[in-house]
Amino acid sequence: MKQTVIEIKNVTKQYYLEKPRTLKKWFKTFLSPFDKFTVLKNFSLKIKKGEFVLITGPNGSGKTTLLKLIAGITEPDAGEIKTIGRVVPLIELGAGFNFDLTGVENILINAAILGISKSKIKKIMPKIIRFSGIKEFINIPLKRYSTGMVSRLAFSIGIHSDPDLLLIDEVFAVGDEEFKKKAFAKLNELKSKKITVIISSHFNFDSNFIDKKIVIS
Amino acid sequence: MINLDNLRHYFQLLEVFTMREIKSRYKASLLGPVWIVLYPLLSAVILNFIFGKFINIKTEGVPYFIFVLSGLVVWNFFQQGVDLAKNSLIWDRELITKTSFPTSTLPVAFIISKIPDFLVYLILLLLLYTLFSYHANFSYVITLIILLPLFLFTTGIALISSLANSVFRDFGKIVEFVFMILFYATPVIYPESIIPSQYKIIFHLNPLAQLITLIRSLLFKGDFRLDLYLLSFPISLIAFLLGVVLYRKFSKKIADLI
Repeated sequence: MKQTVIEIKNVTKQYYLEKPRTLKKWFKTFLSPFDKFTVLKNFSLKIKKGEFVLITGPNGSGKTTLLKLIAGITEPDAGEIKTIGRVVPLIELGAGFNFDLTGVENILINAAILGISKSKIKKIMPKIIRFSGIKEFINIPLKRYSTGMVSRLAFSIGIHSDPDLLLIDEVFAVGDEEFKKKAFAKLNELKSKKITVIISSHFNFDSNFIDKKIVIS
Repeated sequence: MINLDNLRHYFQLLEVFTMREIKSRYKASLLGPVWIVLYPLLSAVILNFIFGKFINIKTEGVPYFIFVLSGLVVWNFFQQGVDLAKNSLIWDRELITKTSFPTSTLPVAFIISKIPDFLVYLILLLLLYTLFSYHANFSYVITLIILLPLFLFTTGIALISSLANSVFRDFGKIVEFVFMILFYATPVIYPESIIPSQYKIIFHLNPLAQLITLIRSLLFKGDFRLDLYLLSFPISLIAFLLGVVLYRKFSKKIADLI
């Protein structure tokens, strides 16, 4: 019996459609509360260790919200979420990069955010640089990078950060064919290492690659 | 629950965010870190003209330039620190809404990034005063201890401001206005002795005022006012703890509201 690493129990998540950004609007909420939009309602899910899960569904159906809830970026309004192990979210590649700083400097920052210790960062730094394939640009500011280069760097940091649970949100839309191949090879390697991966995507993946498919509507 | 690994992570984040801020602060500027020295000197020159020469505030024999610089050492750390920190969450909203980490490291790192500036100001002040008074005194180094209550007070206010500003953008404007009042309510450009007795309560509630007066009486009168030092702690600690408690309470909502 495999260990359950993610357990989502009756989770409901609502967002404000309009945020009370100013005090004036906030006072108005007492008179007429803002509409809330229910993204997930009474949602339950169990994921076991080493499973590859694909989440599909139309835009706005709550794929990203689900990943954010699992990653602990946002909290549910009702229900409970339990995760076991280190969760590494790749919600948007390159979020949190500083474009005035160099590739190496950004690796240091991003890896620290993902919770990797300094000594570990030193060890994986060459691997990250090699995998991203931007060795000759690694010491220049990110603002000189192409969009694809930025995404490759971010993806590279994420998968080398030794996750137990990897959450990937629509990140295969970027990068060229060659990088996609490399990324899939790496995901296969993670799969053999029994690392749990959740991918949200419009694309349909190879069915023997995916253990579980969840459709949100 | 405090666990050692989380604590290590927290301090590592403080370090990288602080270094990021210091590195990117001067990346696109011509003079770079020279600004750390230029900023207080230029503000002291301006204030020296207005309040030292035109309005002629009495400072008991100390050149007004040095007098006002001693106030700015404390005031600039507080004002610049909070000013940066209040926007820290908004600037890094991408990070907050897309990754999971203790977000309070962002405003706190901005305050830490201002410590080198504080030290440069302090050294500048001590150097200028030594030149003026012709006698060096190593006991002046003790002024460093004001950093502790100053840091606590500034961090507390910074945590509250960054939180409030990330939800209500009005708050940033309110802070700017409050700072204008606070600048004049704090004895930066004038000595504490001219505060009318019925308004002394302002002095007792304001750690910045106490710390500025502490520096001045030590440098200019050779009198170390331990009472002022201790007096600065209650309010600083209250501000700090209030900041920490409020931040802990609301930090999980930031990603949704920012």
